[in-house]
Amino acid sequence: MNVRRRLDLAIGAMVVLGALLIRAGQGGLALPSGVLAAAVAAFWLTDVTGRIRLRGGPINLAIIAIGVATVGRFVAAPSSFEVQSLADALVCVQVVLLFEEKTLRTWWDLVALGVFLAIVAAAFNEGAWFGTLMAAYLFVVLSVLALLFLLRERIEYDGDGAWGVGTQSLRGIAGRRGVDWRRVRKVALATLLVGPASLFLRFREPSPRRSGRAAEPSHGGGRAAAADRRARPVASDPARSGMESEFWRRMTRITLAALSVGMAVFLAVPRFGGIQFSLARFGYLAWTRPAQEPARTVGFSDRVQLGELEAAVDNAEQVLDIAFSEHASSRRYRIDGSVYLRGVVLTTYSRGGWETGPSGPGILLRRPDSSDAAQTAGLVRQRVTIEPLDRPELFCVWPIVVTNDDSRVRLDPGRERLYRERVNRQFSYVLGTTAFDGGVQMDLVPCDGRVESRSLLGWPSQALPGLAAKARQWVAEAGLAEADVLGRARLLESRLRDPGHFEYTLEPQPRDPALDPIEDFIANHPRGNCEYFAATLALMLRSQGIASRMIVGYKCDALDDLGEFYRVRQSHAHAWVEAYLAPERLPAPRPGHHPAARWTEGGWLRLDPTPPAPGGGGVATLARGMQYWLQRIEVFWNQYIVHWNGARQREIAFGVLAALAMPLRRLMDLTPWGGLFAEPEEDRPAADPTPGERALSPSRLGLSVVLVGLLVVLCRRRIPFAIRRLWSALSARGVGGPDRRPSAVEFYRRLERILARQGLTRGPHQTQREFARRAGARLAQCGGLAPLAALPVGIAEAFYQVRFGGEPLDRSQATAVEEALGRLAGAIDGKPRRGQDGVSP
Amino acid sequence: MGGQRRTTLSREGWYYVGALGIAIAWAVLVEANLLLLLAGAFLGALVASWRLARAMIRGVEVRWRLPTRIYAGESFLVTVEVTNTRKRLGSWALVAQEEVSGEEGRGGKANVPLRAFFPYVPPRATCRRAFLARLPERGRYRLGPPRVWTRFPFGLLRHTSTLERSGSLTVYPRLGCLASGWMERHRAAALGDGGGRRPSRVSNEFYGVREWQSGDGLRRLHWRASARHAKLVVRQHEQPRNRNLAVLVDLWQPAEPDAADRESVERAVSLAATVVVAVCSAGRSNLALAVAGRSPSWTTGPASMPRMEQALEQLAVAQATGGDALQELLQRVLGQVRPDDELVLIGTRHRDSGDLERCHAAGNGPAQRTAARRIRVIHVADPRLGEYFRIE
Repeated sequence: MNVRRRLDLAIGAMVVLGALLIRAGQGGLALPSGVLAAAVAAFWLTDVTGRIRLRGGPINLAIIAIGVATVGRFVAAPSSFEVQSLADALVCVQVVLLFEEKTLRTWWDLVALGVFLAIVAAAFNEGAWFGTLMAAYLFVVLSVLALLFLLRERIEYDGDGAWGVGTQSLRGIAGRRGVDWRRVRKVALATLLVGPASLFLRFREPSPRRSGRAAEPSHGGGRAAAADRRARPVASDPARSGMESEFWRRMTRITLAALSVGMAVFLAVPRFGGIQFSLARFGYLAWTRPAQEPARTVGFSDRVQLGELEAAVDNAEQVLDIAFSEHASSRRYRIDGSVYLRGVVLTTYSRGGWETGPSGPGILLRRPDSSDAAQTAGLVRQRVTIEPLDRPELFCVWPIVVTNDDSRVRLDPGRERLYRERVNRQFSYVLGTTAFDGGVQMDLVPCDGRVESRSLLGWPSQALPGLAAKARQWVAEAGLAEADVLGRARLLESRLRDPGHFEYTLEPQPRDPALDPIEDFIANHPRGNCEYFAATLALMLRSQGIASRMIVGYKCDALDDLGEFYRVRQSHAHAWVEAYLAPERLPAPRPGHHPAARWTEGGWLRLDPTPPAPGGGGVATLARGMQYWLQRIEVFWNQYIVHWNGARQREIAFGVLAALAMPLRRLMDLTPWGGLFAEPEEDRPAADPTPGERALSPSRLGLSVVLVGLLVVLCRRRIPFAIRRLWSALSARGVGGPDRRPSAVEFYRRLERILARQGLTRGPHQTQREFARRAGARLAQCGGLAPLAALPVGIAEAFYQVRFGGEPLDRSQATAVEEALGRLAGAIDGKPRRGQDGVSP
Repeated sequence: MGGQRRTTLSREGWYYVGALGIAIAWAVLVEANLLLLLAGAFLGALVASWRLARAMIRGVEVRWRLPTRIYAGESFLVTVEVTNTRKRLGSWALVAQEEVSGEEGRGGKANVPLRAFFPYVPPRATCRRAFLARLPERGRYRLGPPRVWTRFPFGLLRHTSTLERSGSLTVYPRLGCLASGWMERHRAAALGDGGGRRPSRVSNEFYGVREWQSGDGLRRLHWRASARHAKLVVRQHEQPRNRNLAVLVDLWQPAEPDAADRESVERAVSLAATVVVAVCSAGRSNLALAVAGRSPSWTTGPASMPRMEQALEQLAVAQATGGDALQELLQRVLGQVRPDDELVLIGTRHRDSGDLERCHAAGNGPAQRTAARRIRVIHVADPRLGEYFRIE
């Protein structure tokens, strides 16, 4: 298969991939399938057998028809599909050109359309599949470019023989001399009719001499071809020489390198937030979206309808990050275990739905006037930064203590929730909390105010007979007294959570519509997500006469790379239960609780009945695993490619650079070395981490090591060369000693260079002395250069003295050598060359 | 391949970079991440192609082979060998070029690159390519510097390696055909001008005696041998088939020559070269060539291949002059020719310009004047030149 055939195949693949790139993300595979069929047909009928070969007229008609149809779609279609129409038109033009009798122009047009198509596809496609397809498309486009280049070079050199280039250039110049106004008029008219599509219309060429682009591939012919029959290139058989495999190997490497550089450019180019540029008639474009589009919360809501969350994906998109520090010292506060961030409190249950209580007027949070040491001692400060979200709820660890006045944060006392007025933007706030002791979030916290326990005891007893029976059965089996509220609550929690009967899953489960979802969960299908477990426990507690409520928020136990703050993601959305313990039901000793905590109103006991997700096996697990990873890839793509912005760039990309620079900076900093001889400081408070310390996290250091290693692997062949060069440079400055100075014999190299200009080069069999003698003899034969015949020998002797005798030239010798070289250079550059000797009689 | 390396953007490369710059600028302005990624990848392709081209050129050695004799207007075979010394990396789309430029006027108008294209040179392999080339004008050309470049893989960048090496090439004058008129005149001259002159005893060697025949002149009788044999016998002398030839070329042209004048000069040089080749190919005689031009030159010796090359090289670089260099050259030549040498003057002047008279008047002394009178003058501007010489 020759280059042309490979090019035809690659072009066909490019067109098919282009159609996939455009349409696959929109869910339609009809166009890609059609294009695939057309590409196969074009390859066979046009390129191989030549049965269908369209020329100018039909091509123009087809392109005009496509242009008219596209304009029609522009007028009729809804705006969101207008760019799609343009992309479809480009694909159709490509298909038409596939059936054209191929010339260089055809191939160029197809490549140009292909690249333009990729740009258009980048405008309105965002999925992770786009990245995969783009990599494949890039490989194909680059291969097409390379094959087209090879074919063009063959035409250029072999087609016209060894003198072809000059001839062709002249032809091109001749072709540009005159202006064919008739042709210009045609182009202008076509542009008015079909717009930019006129670029691909075929106009009759005045003469072959005027068309450099429409040159048909011609092989051989002329003197060069006759000569080629005598001496063909040795490696003419691609299969034998490994040409084919090496070509594709090179293309693969180039594609990988291109993607790497592309990624580096992508990460390094600074983001300014982007100009809000809208194309009114082009509908939605990825280009026109705002820099930070608010994310929709998945999993969290201010109401719960059982069964809705089952369809939610395991979304790893970040919602917020929260950092804890000691209020008094600002030291980082280390936490063991999970952190529960309350969002909303749900109190009312009805047929599978939980809702909040009645809303009250929002009040501003005020810092307490009396902030004595007793109030602030042991207080933990929580700093929360919420990503742009479409919800007003604010999340934090309860109970809260206001440490700073913040008019943006409001409290809804009726619903016991914090909220903000303005949504859809990043939001940071600071609050204190008394929930921690010894790095552990306490499960029993005091009530802030009086609790209306009656509203927390309602449950549909008629609809949940099985639930109440089950709760009674468990309590009876345990033999717990009615007064032991805490024990009963713990018992029910553990029975739901412990492995055995109930199972956690995010997959949708069949439910009996005739039954309450919780009753069905208890009686028939004991599988569900955290909402089912929490709702069941809350209702069981109520059936036992224990006031309870359901809390929806986030449960997180994943510290970030720095170990400094918790990174809370959509997938951390969680529901749990709080049971009310009246003051008389509270356990007597309450060690570890904040001294300022007031228990007069009772306390809230946090109960989390959701069991851990079970491990699976077999094909289903594999499929789940694949789905999980596909989702992760999608999330990664969205988070780090599509929604990459200046903030993430500063945090991640530039953070790595800071991590790379930090060890150097630390080495340069003498303070830690001085500390080696100083007394250790006991209980020295740790200050807030500096950006440098942040950058020194293990993961970033690991990434830096990987990057450096990659750099070393890539440059492994350069390293010895660089070391030698460095050594040479150092030697030249005298580091390596006088004998190793390369400048010592540089004058001899200059001599060889000068003589080379005269056509005298030293053969491999000649010593420097022999060469100098021979050169002197040749110079003696030249009329004008005869007086200089003795100079090469003199310079060669100086060379021997330095190189082999180990004696450097003294000042007078160096001057003489320099002068001789100057004379030689001047005479040779100013005199006729070798070969004119012997002319004189 | 050592030497200077240089990377330049081709025309397509400039278009590519321009489009890429626009795409990246647009992507940054509107913060279009996917477009930026795509443009970055295409930028990466450009960078990768630059690195690949550099690597491919680094291990390439080129050797040009030209024939030893090249005649103006005749095609000659040029062989190029490209060796890839790298262990793993093949070299793609290599173009080897040797610049051919004229020196000092002759051929100076020509500045022609000899190029050969190698689609692929495998690692540790040598590929050979040959093609026919033609240089239209005689003279000395400068070869080099040799270059090798590649624009692989996309034709966007051209990476060139240039060696600081140069050579020279002498293109001999265009050869023609000596017509029958020349042969006849040459034979007649060998026998004596007009056939009326007796052969010289001095130059002809005594071969033997034979019996007198009717028609033999009395002067040829060998009286002593006749007495010894008692019958009339005559001397026999060997008549040499190849006489020594001295070719004088007078390359004169007016101060402001037109095309016809230059054509005359070239024709004169071609005629002289053709004569030189014919004489040296036949051998067994001496050849002297004197060129009266801007740099008068003179060579003489046995007609052999080395002599031929020397003479052709002399003719290749000969340049016409507006002055009268013929007189000085005649003085020098006539002093060195032997009495029986054939003397031919090839002149570029018009027939009535008095070349013959000037030749006859040139000699110093009777011997030289006798030799001068034997000079045959051929004017290349003479319409009857076709009887002696034709050029394709």
